[in-house]
Amino acid sequence: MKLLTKIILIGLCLIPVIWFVGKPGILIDGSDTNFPLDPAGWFSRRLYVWNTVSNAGADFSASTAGTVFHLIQVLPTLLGFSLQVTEIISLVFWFSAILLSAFFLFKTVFPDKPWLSLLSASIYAINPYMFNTWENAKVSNIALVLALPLFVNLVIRLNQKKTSLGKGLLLSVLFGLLISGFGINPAYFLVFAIVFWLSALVFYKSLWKSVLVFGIVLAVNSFWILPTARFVFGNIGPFGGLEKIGYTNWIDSLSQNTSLFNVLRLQGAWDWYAFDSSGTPTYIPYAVNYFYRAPFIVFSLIIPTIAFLAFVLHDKKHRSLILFLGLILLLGAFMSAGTHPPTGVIFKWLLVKRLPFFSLFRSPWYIFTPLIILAYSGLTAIFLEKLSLKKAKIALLVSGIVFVGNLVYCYPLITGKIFRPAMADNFYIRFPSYVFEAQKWLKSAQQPLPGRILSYPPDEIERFGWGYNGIDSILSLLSSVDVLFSPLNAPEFTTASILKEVYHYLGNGDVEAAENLAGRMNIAAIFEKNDQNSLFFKLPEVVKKKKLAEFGPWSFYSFPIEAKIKPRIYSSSVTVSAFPYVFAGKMLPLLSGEEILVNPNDSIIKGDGQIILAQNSQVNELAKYERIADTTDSRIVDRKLDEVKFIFKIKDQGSYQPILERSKLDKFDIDFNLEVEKYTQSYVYFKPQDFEPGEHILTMRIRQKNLVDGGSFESGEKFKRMNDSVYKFIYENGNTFLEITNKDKSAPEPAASFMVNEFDPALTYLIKIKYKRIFGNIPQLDAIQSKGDVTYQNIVERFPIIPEWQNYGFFFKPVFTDSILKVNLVAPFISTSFGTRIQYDDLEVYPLFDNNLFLVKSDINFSASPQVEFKKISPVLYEGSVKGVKGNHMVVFSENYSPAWVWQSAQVKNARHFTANLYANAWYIEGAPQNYKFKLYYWPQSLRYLGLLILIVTISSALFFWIYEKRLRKS
Amino acid sequence: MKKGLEKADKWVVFNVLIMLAFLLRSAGYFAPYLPITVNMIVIFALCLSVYLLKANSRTLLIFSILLWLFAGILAVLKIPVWAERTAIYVFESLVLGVILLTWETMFSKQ
Repeated sequence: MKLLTKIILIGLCLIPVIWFVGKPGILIDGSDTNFPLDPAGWFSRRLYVWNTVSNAGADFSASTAGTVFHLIQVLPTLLGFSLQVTEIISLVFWFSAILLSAFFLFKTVFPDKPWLSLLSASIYAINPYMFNTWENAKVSNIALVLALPLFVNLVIRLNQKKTSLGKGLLLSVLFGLLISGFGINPAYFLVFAIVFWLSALVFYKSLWKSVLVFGIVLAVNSFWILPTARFVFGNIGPFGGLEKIGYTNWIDSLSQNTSLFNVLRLQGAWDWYAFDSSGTPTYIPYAVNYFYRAPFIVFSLIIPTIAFLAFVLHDKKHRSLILFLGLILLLGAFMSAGTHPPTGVIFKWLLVKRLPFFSLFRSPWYIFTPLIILAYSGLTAIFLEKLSLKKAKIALLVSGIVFVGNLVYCYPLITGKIFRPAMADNFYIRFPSYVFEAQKWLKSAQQPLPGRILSYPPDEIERFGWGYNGIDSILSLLSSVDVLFSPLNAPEFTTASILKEVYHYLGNGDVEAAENLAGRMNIAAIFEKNDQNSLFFKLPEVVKKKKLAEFGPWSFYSFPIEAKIKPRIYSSSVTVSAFPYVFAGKMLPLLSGEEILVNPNDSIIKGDGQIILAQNSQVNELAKYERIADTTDSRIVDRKLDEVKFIFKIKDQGSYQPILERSKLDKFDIDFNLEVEKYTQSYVYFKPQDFEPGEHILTMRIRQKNLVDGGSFESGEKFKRMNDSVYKFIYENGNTFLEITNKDKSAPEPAASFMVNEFDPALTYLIKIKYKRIFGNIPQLDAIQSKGDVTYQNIVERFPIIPEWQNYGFFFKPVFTDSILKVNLVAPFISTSFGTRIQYDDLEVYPLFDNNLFLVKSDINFSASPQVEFKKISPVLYEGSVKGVKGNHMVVFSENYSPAWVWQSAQVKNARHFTANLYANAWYIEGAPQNYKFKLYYWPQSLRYLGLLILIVTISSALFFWIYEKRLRKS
Repeated sequence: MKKGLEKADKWVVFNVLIMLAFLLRSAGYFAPYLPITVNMIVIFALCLSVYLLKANSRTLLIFSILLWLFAGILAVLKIPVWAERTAIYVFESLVLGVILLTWETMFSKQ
């Protein structure tokens, strides 16, 4: 029996190998699963609490908790194993760890019934909750699921004196390191702490030993606890969400399907319940089996039923364990349900709103369900043990049926179906060879590149034609180059807003503005992915002048021109205030030379110059329309776009240069009312003007051209008939209009279809029409944006029923992709004898003029900036020197602003830290010598070092104590 | 005989109180400040059974198992809304059962 148990246990440990059977060279990767193509690089990144790789840097304190997890991936790589073997080893290691930790826990409780331990361990490690854990290889989940049986076992063994204190403390060190991964989401650590103390209280005889064990766990994990605690307490308010560390608070949406019934059957994962309009699962194809097939429904109830039976039928020696498991079952079910009613009311009222930092538990089901699976596995064993005392054969039979049934029930986990192999966006990825060629080049080219790489196209989720999907740039997966990309998780970050502008300029072909902005972001190259499925515009040819390298459909281009690239650290002597500061991203491209943009409300620094963004009356009109977009009132207004007013406030009297964005200017026939000084690729510079303080309005006339031919119906039929029906031109009082009568036509409904000329998806359009409904159905206009057979947008406007001529107009915002726009005037079908008759006249389509006008205070005197030389020692430390100082100046460090970056210099003590260029760090230096040296240091790294010191001391102490205890026993 | 009658009296009181709760519910008493929901009546009934009928943890836990099986039948019969509602009662009786179990374990003379 024991041998058979061992063989089965080993077999179960090797389940991850099954996932790769018949798939040579394939990796499980993508979406939230980040298996690195450069394990050593990923590991070394976790040695620092600041990550420079993604989007101009971010605090990385919590992620350093993944050091041990990624170490398991590094070791096979160093031994020369392939990436696939490395991944298999890593998965088998963690899968076995969970299974074995549960097995040993139950072996402690039921020492003479290994088959019971095997059954319970299999229930604990193989269940629907674990599907998602393994699908995404969630480090925090894995760590928590591993931690619970490890430490409950230790507490019980210490309680029963089966393990000596010395050995227990040494094991705590080892276990503490193994489970350190849950620091990536600190909420998991708190769940562990709750369960630990609950078990310590229930098995109270070893309470003081439990205190020591917990102390050891804290000590060995202090390498991530100390920096993460600083970050959490310094950045997130006690009742704030996780938005500040890059997540979106989505607790309500995740709790939509966590009813107690689903939670108790371990079926609360939100993605199981996502279906498309045809009823097909969007993400989890196997979920339908669990919802609709009777055997699956029945089995989902069996394990909970057996577990509940344990409360009634159990051996009295397990009373403490029953109590412990009962409490964690209730706690787990209550918390996993999250904000789902009825318990959700208490959850929200008591915990989310009143318990400080409770909002850290943003995914209740994922965080608390491990408590339920631990309870189920333990309770099942307790019941079956009792049954075996009375009916041994029946107990063995039931155990066998439950064991095999559970393996069948959890077939997606056993067979690898959790990776959705049949779906287009599955996790089985064969990385093309050019990915690895690019990796080689990046590793060699890392030093010569003078800045970051901008990823293009900018979709927030990269979906490659060969299957890989990722929310981070693929470059981060395969190398340690600094890359900028559209972030999905942190859209509110200032860097994201600046990047949005860069991509907007590139898509529009405004290369000058894109270059200026890119230079300030320390961008040195552009990474073009032609194998990415994207609606975004292709990279402008003008950007592709200097190709650095090409790997299949991937190309790297030098961008912007070298002269425009600002180094990671540079100095400046002149500041410009941005009014209003919230739009500073649009003003950054207007900076020249070493100028830096500052917040006018900054307490440390005042701007020498000013850039003022004027309000555009047409943009204001659009904003007004959008605020009341669903009402008829916003649409029956007869709008005119034949002038644009720029409204701005001048604070300080002086000379200001008006600068207008040149983008799409050729689409408008416009009177500037200002004398042009020069045209550049992206801007029109007007001659500077003197302005008095106060509000000013600058009006420009626009001679608009209707983009629809024949919309007035005066020059005959210039539209396409969509279906055979009665189309009649009626001449009345010197005006011609169209009358469409639809008696019985549908699909497609009769319509006059007009093509919008010179359509540009970068612009917003005003579509106007006059109509009169004679009888029948409601008048309707369809605005269809498409390309070939693909429709990107189909806006259907149904007009109010008016028997008189009525004006109607609305704004149309196209999807920003290469396409055409058609406008259909429809006579919709109605099932009456007379049908529908509608009259249309004066269809007009005009582009909205949304270019920005800036006023730049141009009378600034400034001296040359000193020269900066620097060296990056590590992601948290830069050393540099400044030469040729002639007075007060600024040192700009183009990493995302954090007050934790500190200036260190023996020669310059007076350096005040502020935000420059909307996102970067800068120090205002006063009284500096002509030449000096400095260091920029991210000080929370010191907490990491302190944590590592505590770790070493703890390991040594535990080891010495164990040896001392052993010697003491011998003597 | 007397004991039996006393027990029967308690059952009568128990049923009368439950009926009263439903009557108050149907009349909309305390709404909207404290609407008497079926959920609330179930919790009331469970607590009352402990106080009045001296139900112990075993009784409540058996009750929760029976409710769980009933929820399962409803799920198999594709009536998920009722199954979910029944599972709420399962949870409520489980909570009370485990609390009683804890009490009995900690303060039992045995």
